[in-house]
Amino acid sequence: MFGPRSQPDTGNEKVSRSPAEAFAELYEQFMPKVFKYVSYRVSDTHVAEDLTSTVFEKALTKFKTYDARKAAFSTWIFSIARNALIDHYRTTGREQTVELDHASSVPSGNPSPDDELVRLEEFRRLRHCLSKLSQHEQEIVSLKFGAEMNNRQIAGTLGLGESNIGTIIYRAVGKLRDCFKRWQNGR
Amino acid sequence: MAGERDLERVFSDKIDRLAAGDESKIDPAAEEKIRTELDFARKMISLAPEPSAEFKADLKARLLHELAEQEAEARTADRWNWLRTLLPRQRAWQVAAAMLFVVVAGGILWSTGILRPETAPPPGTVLTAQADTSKTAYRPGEPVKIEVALKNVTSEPFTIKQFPPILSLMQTETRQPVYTFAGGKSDRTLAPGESAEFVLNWDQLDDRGNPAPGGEYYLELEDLDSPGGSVQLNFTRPVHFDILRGTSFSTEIQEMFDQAGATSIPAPHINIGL
Repeated sequence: MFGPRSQPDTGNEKVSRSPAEAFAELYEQFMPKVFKYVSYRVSDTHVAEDLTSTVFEKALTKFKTYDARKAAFSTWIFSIARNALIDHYRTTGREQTVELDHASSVPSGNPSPDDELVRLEEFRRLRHCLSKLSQHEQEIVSLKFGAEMNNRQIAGTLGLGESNIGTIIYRAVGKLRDCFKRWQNGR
Repeated sequence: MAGERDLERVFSDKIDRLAAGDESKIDPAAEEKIRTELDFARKMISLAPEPSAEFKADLKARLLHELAEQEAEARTADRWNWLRTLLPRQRAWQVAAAMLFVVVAGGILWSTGILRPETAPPPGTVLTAQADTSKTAYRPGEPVKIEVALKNVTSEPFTIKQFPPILSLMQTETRQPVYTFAGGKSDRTLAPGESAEFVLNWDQLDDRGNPAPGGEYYLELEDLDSPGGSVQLNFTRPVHFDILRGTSFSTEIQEMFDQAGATSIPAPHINIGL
């Protein structure tokens, strides 16, 4: 019968429900985060959607073998996401700078069309600044701001020390801020 | 160094809170020192893209469908596993059991007409009719595709008025029509030996628009009107299909998804009978 070997954690809470219910809840909780994480790593929203689909299809296939005793679901799903990105880079070459598709992003708080254009332009610029960081920094920033992981979770996903994560994030955000500011001043 | 490490820790903790929508201060003094970085972090959080509602719903519908198919496969596998426990272990007995199965299966298929060669049409036959459905068993709500071929077996051209002809889906249990495809509006003339094909798709709704009941169905063509009298249309081989009965498993899944805050999912994609 379909289902994980033990009940999966959702937000570190044990849940006693059917596998279908568990997967549904995990989808609702993690799908936006996976999409955001992938969006930080690729520049095209259609590619982000394709990769998000791939991640969850793989997760569904492997859900039977997922063991909540070995890893939190967030660690597990983002391992799948990272592998999907690696496969994507292998087939397409390293990240390419492509304009974001305006129609595919959802505005937050229903801004006006002008505000939405500004927001999309700013994100495109942020992506450009992010691409100037090292791959390691990009990965950590994406997990922090996209996947909304805390430092411990990032450390667990990447196999690094938790304190190092904090340092890298702080310095990376400083670099991003400087890059972004140069663009704003140049407008 | 220790001070900088503290700032970094406060910075990371603050980002976690901001991402969760919590604007409360952790350490006002430390946060003031890193105010510029925190402001930019806020901006980054606000710029993070959200998936569109359409994409989110479409993906969930696909996953729901795959989930239901996995469940159906697992149940089938369970049934086969149960069947395997009935098979004898000794090789000779396995061979005997296999031969017995072939004989029984062949007999069942023969009785359905699948293995019987097509016989010559009875005298006076003008058109022969053959049909096939895409599957022999369908889940409730699953589209039923019917392919029909009519062949003129006379030596003269024959005109079918209102092509394609009227076709009814009959419930075996009651021998009553559940749904009838209306005849076409145009005529079609078949040369001697020529065939005409048409495809019908049934959405499993009866003539009143209600979901058709589960069970076995067969196809029936209405006789054609022609100047020389009505022309009987009988299938050379009976055509049956089943609509599986039972509680819709996927309805349970849909309810679970809906409780998790999901949007509804189009019924034809998910209905599955147990």
